[in-house]
Amino acid sequence: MQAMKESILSTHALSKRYGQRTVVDQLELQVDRGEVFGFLGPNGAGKTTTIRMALGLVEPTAGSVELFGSDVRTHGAQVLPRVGALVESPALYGYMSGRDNLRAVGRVLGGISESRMDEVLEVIHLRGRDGDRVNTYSLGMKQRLGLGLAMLNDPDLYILDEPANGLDPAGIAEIRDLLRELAAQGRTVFISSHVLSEIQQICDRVAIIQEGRLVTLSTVAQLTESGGEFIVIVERPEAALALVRTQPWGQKARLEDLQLVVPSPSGRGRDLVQFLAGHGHWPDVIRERQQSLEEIFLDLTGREAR
Amino acid sequence: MTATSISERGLSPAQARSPRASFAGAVGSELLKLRKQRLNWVMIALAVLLFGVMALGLGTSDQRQLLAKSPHTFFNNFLDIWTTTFQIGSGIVLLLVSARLMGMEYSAGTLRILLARGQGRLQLLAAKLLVLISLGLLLLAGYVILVGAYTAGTVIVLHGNLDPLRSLPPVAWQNLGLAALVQVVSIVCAVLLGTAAAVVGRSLAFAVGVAMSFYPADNFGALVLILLRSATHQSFWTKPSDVLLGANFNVLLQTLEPDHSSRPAFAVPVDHVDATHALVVIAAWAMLFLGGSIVLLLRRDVNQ
Repeated sequence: MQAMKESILSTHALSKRYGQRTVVDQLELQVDRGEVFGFLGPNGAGKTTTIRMALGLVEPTAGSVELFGSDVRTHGAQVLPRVGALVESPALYGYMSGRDNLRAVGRVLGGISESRMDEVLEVIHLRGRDGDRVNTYSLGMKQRLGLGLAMLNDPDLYILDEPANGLDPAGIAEIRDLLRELAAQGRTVFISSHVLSEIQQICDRVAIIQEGRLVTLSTVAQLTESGGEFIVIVERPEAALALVRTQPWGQKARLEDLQLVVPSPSGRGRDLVQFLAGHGHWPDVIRERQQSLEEIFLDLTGREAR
Repeated sequence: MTATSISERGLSPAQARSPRASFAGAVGSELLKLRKQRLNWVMIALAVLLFGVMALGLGTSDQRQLLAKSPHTFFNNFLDIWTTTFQIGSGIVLLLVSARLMGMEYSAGTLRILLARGQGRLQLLAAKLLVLISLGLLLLAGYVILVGAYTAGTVIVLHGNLDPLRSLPPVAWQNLGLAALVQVVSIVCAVLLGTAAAVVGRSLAFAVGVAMSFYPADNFGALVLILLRSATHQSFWTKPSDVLLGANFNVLLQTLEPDHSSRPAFAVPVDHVDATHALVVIAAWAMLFLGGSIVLLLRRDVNQ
């Protein structure tokens, strides 16, 4: 028997308009407990506005956001302390030290001890610099402190908008590992990022929005699966393509960079090899074609790769 | 931040996952922010320095004869000088501190951090107002002690004992109490004005700019109205000055005093106004600042 999924974050016909401009349009999302959920879209797609509505910062024009089953507008005081958020660039008190920033937010949350702050500072690698004024921090350090603020009371749900901003590759890898660890502990992570390779590695499901509308919502595995297509390198690709196209299952075959992209008659690679070899086209290389999340994102949002 | 770092370093979920948000915690957070602003300490140090300079200046003037001749006049002079000094000095400090404490939340974007962690908008405003008004009252208490000690010291130096003060009529002490009350009203108004400026403008620069220019503009406005009346011989120009905040503040103590002995500094309403009128106008402005802050804070989206 499959365990019942517990919805941690859900939006219902969520819409936001500024004057005549619709920024978020009838958005329906559901994020379940323990998921790492990617929230993607081009700049201006409505990601940050959606996140702000989820955090009670922006009032929806229509629809609602539920956190832990309660409407954030009416039960914000109860549910928002269970959310750790990082929205866009880290917002910090620059004139105070890193530790004082933790103290300022910790006092609002209540029950955050100095030892807990030590733990968080250790995890975000700011233990030695916690007494320095935040204005002297690098962007990466500020980003880590912003994450530290989100982690302070070990929330059930993390809502992170571009958490990798300003981080070097090692920092990005650390964030990835951290999020995996949090998910393993049963925390739910809702993450918006432009680093699609990272999203592909850590997310269970992704939603892609464009112009405020949901374009797709699927598991990463489903999105990036091959669709039964194979990349085949043969000596005479044009001739092989012409051959394959004579078959009912081969209508979608094509050439990409002189490589044959072709479905298999049965969905299995060996049947494709058998067919090609049987007609004198012995493959030098054959591999399953997998799209990257970036390719899918660009396809779905109609954007050109740069 | 490696994958193992959380478990290895032993983040303690049980301890961390029991938030106990409270208004006291919110007040503590605001106190921390206030305490860590170096400019606040610099302003207080400068205020003490200014007090010292003024005290030296007063000490050198010819006060001995006045004290011997009329202790009550001597006392009223002191009350006038020190009341006006506090009203201006504390006004500048509190306007600046209030505008900064609220304005920085918008400019630094920290408002979204606090609200996104479940702090109520009204709770945030109330915590800030409480801390700021407490600061004002603390400044007043310190100032009263300082001025009291200075006045007593001056009387002892000039007269040899405190008899002149002991001989003061009851109305002098009543005026002192009223002066303190007016300062409390002034403190509350300055805090509400500084905070409202930040909420309206949603920026530190706007908040500080508006807060610091409000009273000068208000006083200057009263003078302009007087000039307009003189130039046009139309009494119409006198009406707006009756509802100016600064003008009514300037005249408030005098209207409250039984003997109306204090001398208002700066502009006053062109028409004669009584204490009730001045208090109603000041209360209306205070309600406007507070109501405006509450409504705007509650209704507007946080896009900072």
